[in-house]
Amino acid sequence: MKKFKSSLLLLLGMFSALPTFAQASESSWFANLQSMDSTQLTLLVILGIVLSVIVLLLVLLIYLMTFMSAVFRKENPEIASQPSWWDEFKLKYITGKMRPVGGKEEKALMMDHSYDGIVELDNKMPPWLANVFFLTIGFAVIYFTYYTVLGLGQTQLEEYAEEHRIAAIQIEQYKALAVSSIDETSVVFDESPVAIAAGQSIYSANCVACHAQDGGGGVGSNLTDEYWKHGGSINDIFKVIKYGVPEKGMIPWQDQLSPEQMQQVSSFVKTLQGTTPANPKEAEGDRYVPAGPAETAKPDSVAVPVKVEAVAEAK
Amino acid sequence: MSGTTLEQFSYDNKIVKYFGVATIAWGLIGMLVGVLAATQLFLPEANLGNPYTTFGRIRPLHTNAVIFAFVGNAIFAGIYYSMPRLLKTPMWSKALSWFHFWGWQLIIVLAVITLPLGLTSSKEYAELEWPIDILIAVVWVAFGANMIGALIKRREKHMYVAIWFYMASFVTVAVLHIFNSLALPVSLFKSYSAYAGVQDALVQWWYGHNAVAFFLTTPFLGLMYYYLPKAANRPVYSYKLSIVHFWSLIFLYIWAGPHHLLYTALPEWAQVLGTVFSIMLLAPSWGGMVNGLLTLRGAWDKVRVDPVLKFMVVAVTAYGMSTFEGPLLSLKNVNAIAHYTDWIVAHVHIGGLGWNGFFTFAMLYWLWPKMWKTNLYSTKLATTHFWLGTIGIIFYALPMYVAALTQSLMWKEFTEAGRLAYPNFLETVIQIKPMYMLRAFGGLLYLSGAFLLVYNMIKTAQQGTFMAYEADEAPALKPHVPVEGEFWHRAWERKPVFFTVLATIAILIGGAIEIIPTILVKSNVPTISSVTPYTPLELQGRDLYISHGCVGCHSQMIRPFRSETERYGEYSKAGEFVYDRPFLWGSKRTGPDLHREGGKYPDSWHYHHMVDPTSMSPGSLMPPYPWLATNIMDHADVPAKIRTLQKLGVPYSEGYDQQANADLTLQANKIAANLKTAGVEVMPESEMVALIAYLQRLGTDIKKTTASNP
Repeated sequence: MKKFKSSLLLLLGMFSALPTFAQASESSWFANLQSMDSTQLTLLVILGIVLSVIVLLLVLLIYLMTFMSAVFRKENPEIASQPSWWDEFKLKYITGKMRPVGGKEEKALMMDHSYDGIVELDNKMPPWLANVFFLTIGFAVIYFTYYTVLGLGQTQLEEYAEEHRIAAIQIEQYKALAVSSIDETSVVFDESPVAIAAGQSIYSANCVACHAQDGGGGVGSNLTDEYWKHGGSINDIFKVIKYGVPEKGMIPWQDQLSPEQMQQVSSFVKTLQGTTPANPKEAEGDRYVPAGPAETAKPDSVAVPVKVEAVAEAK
Repeated sequence: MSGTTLEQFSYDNKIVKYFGVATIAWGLIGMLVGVLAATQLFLPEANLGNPYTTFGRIRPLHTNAVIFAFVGNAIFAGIYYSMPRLLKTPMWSKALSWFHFWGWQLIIVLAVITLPLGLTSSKEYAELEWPIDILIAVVWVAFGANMIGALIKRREKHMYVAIWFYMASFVTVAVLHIFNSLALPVSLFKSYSAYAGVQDALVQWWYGHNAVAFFLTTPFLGLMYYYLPKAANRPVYSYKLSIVHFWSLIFLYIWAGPHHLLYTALPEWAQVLGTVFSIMLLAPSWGGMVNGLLTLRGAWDKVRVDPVLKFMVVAVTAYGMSTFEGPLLSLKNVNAIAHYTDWIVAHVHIGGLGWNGFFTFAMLYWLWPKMWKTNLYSTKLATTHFWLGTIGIIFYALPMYVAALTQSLMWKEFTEAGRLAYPNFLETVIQIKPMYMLRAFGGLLYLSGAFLLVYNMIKTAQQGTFMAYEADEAPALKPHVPVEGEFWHRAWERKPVFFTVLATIAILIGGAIEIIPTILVKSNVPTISSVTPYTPLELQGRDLYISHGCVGCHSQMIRPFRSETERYGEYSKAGEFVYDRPFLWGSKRTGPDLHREGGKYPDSWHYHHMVDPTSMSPGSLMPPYPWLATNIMDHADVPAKIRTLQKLGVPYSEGYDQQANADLTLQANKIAANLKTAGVEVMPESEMVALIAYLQRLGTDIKKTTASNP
C-alpha cells in the first residue's frame, strides 16, 4: 500500500507541475534576492509600493462607478427595470432564450408536423454550444496549421530527443556523487548487514527466477559452489551482473539497478558460497580459488555434479 | 366532402419481441463473460486451465457479445418498433425481417463457437473470420433493404431525425465492415489481412473508432430521438440543433480514428488529423445530449418516479461524459499517460454500461408494457435495477481510473540515477490488483441488476396479453406540391435516396483522405532494408500468438518515450511492420510490450514462463499455457500460407512454398536442441517451439544493421 500511496501523491504532484522544475526555480529566485545589493532592493520596494497603489486606485474606481450607477438608476426608474449587460450577454451568448414550459411562446415554436405523436420545437441551438463548436474549430485550425502546415510544433521524435537531453543533464549531476561511481574495478565485498540485507531483497526480486531462492540454480547457474563460468571474484560477479552474458541467457542489469545496488547484490551472492541448496545444479565452469587467505575454500566441498534429468524432475 | 381516405395497415410487434428477448439473453451472457474476464485479471486460476477459456479468447468473446449481440439486437428491436410507426407503414418485408433476425443470431452463435476455438483475425471488434464476415455483410444488407423498402412505401412525407440516424448508421457500418475485413483466405478458417503494418493499423482504427461511432452511438441517438420524447411526453427541444449535430457528427466522426494511434509509427500528419477532428467532435456529440436533456424540460418531476426516464437521464449523461472524455484523451499529452492503461477501459465502459446499457434497459422497460398492453409489473424492482446499475458503473469506473493513473505514473517514474523506478513491469501490475477486484465487483453489481430486469420482463409479459399486430391507419402519401419558401433541409427530408447519398458522401470524405495517401504514398512508411519476411516457423508461431489472443494484453508498439525505450528497447518504426498481416500493435498493456522481446531471454526462460508464468515472474497474473509444450502443431497448411502471402506481395522467393516445411523443421530442431541443453525436453513439432521462434524474432530485424555497423 505504501507504493500505492506514493503514487497517489505523485498524481497530486503531476497536477502541481513538474516538482523538479519548481524546486530549481524556487531556489534560484531566493538566491537572486540574497545576492542583491541595497539600492536594487530599494528600487524593488518602491516598485512594489507603486504597483499596490495602482491596484488600490483601481478598486476604488470600480467602487465609485457602481455607486454612481446605483444613484443613476435610482434617479431614473425606467432604466432600472432594463436588463443589465450581463443578462443581455447571457441571453445572447450562453443560454439563449428559454421559453417557459407549456406556455404560449412554446406553443408558437411547435412545428406543424408530428411523427407518431412526437412534435419538434423550432428552438435555436443553445448559443453556448454553438460557441464551444466554434472554439473547437478554431483550435483545430490553429493546431493543424502549427503542427502540419507550418511544421512549428515538435514532432514526436524531437520531443523524444528533448526528453533525452534533459535526462542526460540530470544523470551527469547524479554521476558526480560517490555511490554512482562504483564499477567492476572499484567494487568491494561489502559485508555490512545492511548491505547484505539490501542485496538479498534485490536478489529475491530479480534473480530467484533463474538462480533459485537458495542460489542452487535452474535456468541460471548454481551460485553456491566454487565453480564459476565467468570468474568468482567480487569484481567478476559485479561485471556479470552489470553487463550480463546475453549469449548464455544472463541479462544485463545496469539499466535497472544502480551501481550501489549491484555491489549489494554481488556481495550477497558471495555470502551464498558454501551453503547447501535444496536442488543444486551441476557445477559449471572453472573452480575459483580466492587469492586472499580469508576466503580459503575447504578442499572437500567440491560440488557433486547432478544429472540434467534430475534437475528437470525436481522442478 | 370527405377529405382523404385512410389506409389500414398493422405493425409487426412479434419481430420486436424476438429481438428484445435476444437482447436480454445475449446481454446476460455477454455481461457474464465480462465478469469472468474481469476475474481472470486478478485470479489466473479463473482461466480454467484450457485454451478455450483463457483471457486472450474470452476478451473478444465478451466484446463481441456485448457490442454485436446485446447492443446489436437492442438496435434492431428499437428500429423495428419505431421506424414503421414513424413512417406509417410496416417494415418492407416480413420474410426479410425474419431472415435478418435468424441470420444475426446465427452470426452470434458462430462467434461464440469460433472465438473460443481461436479462429480470429485479431482485429479488434472485427475478430470474426472471413466466412462469417460475408454472412454479416449479407444480413446487414438485408436489414438495410428492409429499411429502404419501408422508406419507399412510407405514408409520412418527411423523415424524422431518428430515421436520419438509422440510415447513416446502416450505410457507414456497411462501408466500414467491408473495407476493414478485406483479407485473402488461406482456408475456411484462416485469412491474412489485405493491409500490412501501419496501413492495417490505420484501417483497423478507422473501423474500430467508427464501430463505436456508428454502431454504439448514432443508432442509439436515433433511438433516443424516438423513445425519449415518447417516454417524457414532451416535444423535442430543437429541430435546428438536430440538423446541425446530425451532419457535423457523421462528417467529423469518421476522421477521428488515428487518435487511437498517437505516438505510434503512424505518419504524424494523420495523427494530427485524428487529434483535431476529435476535438471538434465535442460540440456535435454534446448536441445529442443537450437536445435530449432539454427535451426533458417540464418532465423532470416524472424522472423522480418513472424508472424509464431515470435510466434515460443517466444514459444521456453518461453519453455526454464519455464524449467529453474522448476529445480529452485525443490530446497528445493526455494520451501519452492514458494509452495502454485501464483509463481506456473505464472510458469505454462509461459509454457501454452507461449509454448503451442504460438506454437499452429504458427502452425495454418502456416497450414491454406497450406490447403486452399492461403496466410494468414492478416499478420498485426497476428502480432497484437502476440503482444497482448506477452503483455498478461507479464501482467499475473509479477503480479503473485510479489503476490507470497509478500504473502509468509508475511506468514513467525515474530514479535520480536516471533509471526506471519500477523496472520490473510486474510490480506495476501487482500494485493495481485490488483495483481489478473492485472493478469485477462493479461488473457483478451491474449484472445482478440485469437479472432483476429479466424477472420484471417475464412477470410483465405474464400479466398482459401480447399484441402481435397493432393496427393503425393513415392517408396515402400524396404527390409533392411545391411549397413557397420551403426550408432547404425540410426538402431533403422528403427525399430519402438523396439524403442517404449525401450522408454517404459525408462519411466517405474523412476516411478517403486519411487512408488512401497512407496506402499509396511510399514516404508514409519508410522501408528498412534489414527487415525480412518471417520464416515459416515464425509465421506459425505468429499465427499461434494471434489465435491465443496474446494481443489482448501485450502491445507491440514502443512509443518514442524515454520511459518506454529504457524499459523495452528502441522505439518501433513504421518499416518494421511491413510483413505484419494483421498488425499486432494492441491497445492495452496488461503485460509488458513485446515488440523487442526477441533475444531478451533464453529459449528456456520462455518455455518455463509459458508452462507456468509464476516460475519466472513470481506473482505474475498471466494465465499458464502448459498445453503449448505438448500440443503438436499441424504444419500442413504452411505452403498454402506462403502462397497466400506471396499473392499479397510478401517477397518469398518463387516456389518457396515447397521449401518452407523443410526450413521449418530445421529451425524447430535447432530450438528444440537448444532447449535440451538447458534441460528441457520438448518435441520440435510442438506449439511451444513455434511460439518461441516467433517471440525470439520479435523486433530483432533492426538490430541486424546495428550489429554490422557498430
